[in-house]
Amino acid sequence: MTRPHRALSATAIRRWRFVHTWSSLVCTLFLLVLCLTGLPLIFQDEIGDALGEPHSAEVAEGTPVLPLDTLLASAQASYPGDATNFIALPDDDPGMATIGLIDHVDGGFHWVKFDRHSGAVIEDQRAGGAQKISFMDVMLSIHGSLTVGLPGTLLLGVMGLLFIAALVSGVVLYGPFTPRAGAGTLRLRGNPRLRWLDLHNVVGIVLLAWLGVVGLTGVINTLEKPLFAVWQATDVAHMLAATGGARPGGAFVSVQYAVDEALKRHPDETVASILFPSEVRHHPHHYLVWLHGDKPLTRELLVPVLVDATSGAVLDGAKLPGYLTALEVSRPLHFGDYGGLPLKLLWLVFDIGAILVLLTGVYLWIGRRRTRVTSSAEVIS
Amino acid sequence: MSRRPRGLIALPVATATCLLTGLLLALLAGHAWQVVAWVLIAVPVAAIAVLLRRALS
Repeated sequence: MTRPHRALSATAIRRWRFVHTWSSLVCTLFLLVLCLTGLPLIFQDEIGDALGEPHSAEVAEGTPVLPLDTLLASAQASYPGDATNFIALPDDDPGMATIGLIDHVDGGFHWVKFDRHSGAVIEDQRAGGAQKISFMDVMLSIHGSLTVGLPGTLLLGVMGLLFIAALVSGVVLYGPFTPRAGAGTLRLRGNPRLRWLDLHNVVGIVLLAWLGVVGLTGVINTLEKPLFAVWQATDVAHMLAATGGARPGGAFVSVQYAVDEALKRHPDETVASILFPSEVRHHPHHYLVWLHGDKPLTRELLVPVLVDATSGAVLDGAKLPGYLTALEVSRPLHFGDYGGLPLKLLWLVFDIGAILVLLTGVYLWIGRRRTRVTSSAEVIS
Repeated sequence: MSRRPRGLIALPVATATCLLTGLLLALLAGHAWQVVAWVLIAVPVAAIAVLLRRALS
């Protein structure tokens, strides 16, 4: 099915085909899992709404919100002894605050969602005793780590690199496998092998940029935990050491005070989340307040502000290094959730196209193997 | 040696350019440009639809 090519010798084509076949085959099963679990994740907000996921109550504009300390006290009263891990303020529901806690007995993470206006509990992950795990939690866990944590995430990163190799080799092979009638020719009638080959090649080459963007940003996303850990262990630790280090012993200022101090320094930003002082995260005596803007890009580009939990002093200047900025920009480009429903629908179509490319690739490989086995059998007989 | 098939370079370059421009526009530009961004991102989908239609006609 190949024809002489002006740039590639027959040997080169054979080699590139080897790279393409095996880099694709090794990662195909993982990519199919990612594509299938990615489908509901594209529409997680819409599915959540359809399943009756609770939101904060609608209030008149300008209704004041309760101090975060009030909500925190309520969470701590419900789970005495549990340490506070974080408070998240989702930008798609400004009336809600999620308080993350760490179980003082088993060290497990759980959360409680509060209405910021009334202080009412919107949802408690441990309501009724057992920890609630939603369908989306399962999809996200499979998509992000194959449910096995960091090792699974890193394995997916390696699979992503193989996928990039498959894309590059696919581009190289695209020329020699393009019909004489021209690129984009789909021979849908007649030989089924040609039909699937053309569909594989044409859909693959037309979606190449999307596959490349989502593959590459997916690989970058798999490095999220290690990259943040590196930043906290290096930049944050150095910055805190330069200010004289820890001031243990004193009582902590309230979380609302810390947030107000951070916002005084960055009045145009909005609070995304607050990480509580933590030895593990290398800021045992500081709140880490994450701020963000309101535009599609600045919503993703988080600004970190460290607030001394004892004195309330703001330790600014924690500009994120380039590798974390790259990580933050890669998130929206991977999830396609920054351009409203039309972009999500396009992501759905692209995802289905990617599944088609994967399945046709497997079909072509099986077909080629069968042809080889049949030819060998004929030679022997 | 054979002649390069028609559209060998143009098809992937054009669809990739439209998609990447659209993604960046959606990320960087204001609300007024979102529709333009969606149209550009949809170009690869439209290209596949046109090619399928041509193949089936």
